[in-house]
Amino acid sequence: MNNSMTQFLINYAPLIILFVVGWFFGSRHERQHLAQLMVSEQAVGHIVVSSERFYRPKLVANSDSELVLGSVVIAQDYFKMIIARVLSLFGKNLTTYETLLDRARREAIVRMRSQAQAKGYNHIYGLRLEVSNINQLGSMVEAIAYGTAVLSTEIATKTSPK
Amino acid sequence: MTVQLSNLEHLPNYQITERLDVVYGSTVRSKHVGKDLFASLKNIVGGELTAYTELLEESRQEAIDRMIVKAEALGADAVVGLRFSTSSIAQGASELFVYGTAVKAVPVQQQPASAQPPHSPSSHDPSIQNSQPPAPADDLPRFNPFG
Repeated sequence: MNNSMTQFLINYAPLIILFVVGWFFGSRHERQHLAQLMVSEQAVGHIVVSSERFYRPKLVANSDSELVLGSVVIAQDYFKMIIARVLSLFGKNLTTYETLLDRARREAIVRMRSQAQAKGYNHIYGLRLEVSNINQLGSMVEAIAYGTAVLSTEIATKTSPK
Repeated sequence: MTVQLSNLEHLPNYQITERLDVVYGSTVRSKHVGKDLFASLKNIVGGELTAYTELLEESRQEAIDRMIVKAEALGADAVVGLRFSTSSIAQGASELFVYGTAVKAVPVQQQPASAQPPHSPSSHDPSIQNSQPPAPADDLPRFNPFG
């Protein structure tokens, strides 16, 4: 009995270690990332983002527009991949993937906004979001966000929340 | 003059005068084995894969540059209606594709708020000018998709 138990442990030790390591570091990364996202979203929150195509804000005279783009590649940890595989047997919401995609998109938008801020624009419109797989398993996703940054007069008077 | 980029159907503060052609650029890239290995290790614990982010950013920029070269060859001032698309074709390699319409554009002459609209008659009688309703509807920023 004891012998078969150790045999089992030896066979599945790598898998279990990966599972525990993935769980520990993955949840820690996620918590850190979400906290960091809250901070950076506050910092660039004064840049207005909209996804309309046919909306024309009042622009500062003779100002240019520029394409801004933010992209990020985020990987799923091993623990969550296994959970997702188990959940997909029952056809439930893959909540672990939902958080991954949410983090990727938010990070991409934050990067796009900070790029616009660095270039001195205060309004982004025509926002498009896109997510694509990097590997076949779907454990790595790339999110990109792009839009046209302009200098608008409508919000120039509004004080930026710092 | 550098080619301006916009992912909208128009270019803010510019008037599109002529549409030239669709231009596109693409790159297929993969990282070398060492970084690929590192990324797959990072995959266990999750988190951002900085190596891949950089790789994709670089190659996307290259795709944009290739598109701009084509646009410049056509003599375009700007590329509008820009779209990106990504597809993975093999393990660890992906194609980045960017396309848009090359156009010729001129800056819109911005008039100060006190200026007369160009179609109004010359102000020989100021009372007529004052009786006109201020701010007609065509002052509003309305988008004409075919303009």
